[in-house]
Amino acid sequence: MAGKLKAYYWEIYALIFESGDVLALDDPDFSLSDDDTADIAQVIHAVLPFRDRSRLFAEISLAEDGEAIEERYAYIYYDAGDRRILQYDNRDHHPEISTHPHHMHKGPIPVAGEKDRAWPIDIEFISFETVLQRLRERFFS
Amino acid sequence: MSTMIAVPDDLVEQVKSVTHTNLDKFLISAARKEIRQIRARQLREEYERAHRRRLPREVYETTLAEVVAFETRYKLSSEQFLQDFEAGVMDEDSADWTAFYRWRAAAYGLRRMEKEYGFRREVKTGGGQT
Repeated sequence: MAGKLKAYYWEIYALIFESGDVLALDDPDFSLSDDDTADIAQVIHAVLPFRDRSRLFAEISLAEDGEAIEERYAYIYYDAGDRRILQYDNRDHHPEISTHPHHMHKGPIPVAGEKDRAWPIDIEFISFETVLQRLRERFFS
Repeated sequence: MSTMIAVPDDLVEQVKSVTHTNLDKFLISAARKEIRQIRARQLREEYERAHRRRLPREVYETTLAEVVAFETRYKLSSEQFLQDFEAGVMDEDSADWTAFYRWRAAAYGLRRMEKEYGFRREVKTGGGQT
C-alpha cells in the first residue's frame, strides 16, 4: 500500500543527514520517528535542532495520491531562546487567507486570549524539503 | 564514486520557457533531488538489513497510548478534538504549543490504522474512553 510513503520518509531522512552543515544531528533533542510509523500510521514527527540552537518542530500526516503528499502538517521554528519565529500549517481555519488552507504565523506565540494572526505562505509549496530550504536561505546563508 | 544525471533537452527547454530565470538553480535542485533519492534507497536498504520491522499492531498500540494520554490530559475525545481543532473552535494550547499538532497526527494515524487493519480499541468499563 504505502511503498511511496516509505520512500518519501527515506528522502526526508536523507535530506536531514545531508544538512549537517546547519543541523545539530548529535544534539540530544534531535528526534525523528521511524519508517514503520511513516508506513503504517502515515505520520512523520521530527524535532530538528540547528547548530545555532534554534529548532524546527515538524508534524506531518501523509497520504498517497499517486505520490506521497503531506496531507496535514505543522512546521514550527523556534529561536535559541525558545521563542517562535514562524509557523506553517494547513489547519482549515483561516479561509480568509489567499493561500488557504496553507498559511503561516509569524513572531512569538501570542499570550492566552490573543489571536494568532495568519498570513499567506511565503513559499510556493509547503513540504519538508521546501521548509528546510526556506529556513536555510533565510537564516543560514 | 561519481553519479551521472541526464537531463533531457526538451525538459530544459520547457523549464526555460516557463521560468525564464533561475534555470541553473532548478537543474542543480533537480540533480540534488535525484542524488538524494539514490542515497535514500541506500540508507533504507542498510536500515532494513539491521533492524526488525515493527508490526502494525505494535505501531497501533504505541499510537493508541499516545492518543489516550492526550484524551486523558485534556478530558476530551479525539473525535471531538479533531472537529474543534480543525474548525478553529479550539486554538493551540498556549502552555504546550505543539501538543495539539502531535495529538492531531496521532489521532489521524490511529484512524487510518483502524480502517486499514481493522484494529479497534478495547472497550473499557467504568466510564473510560472507548
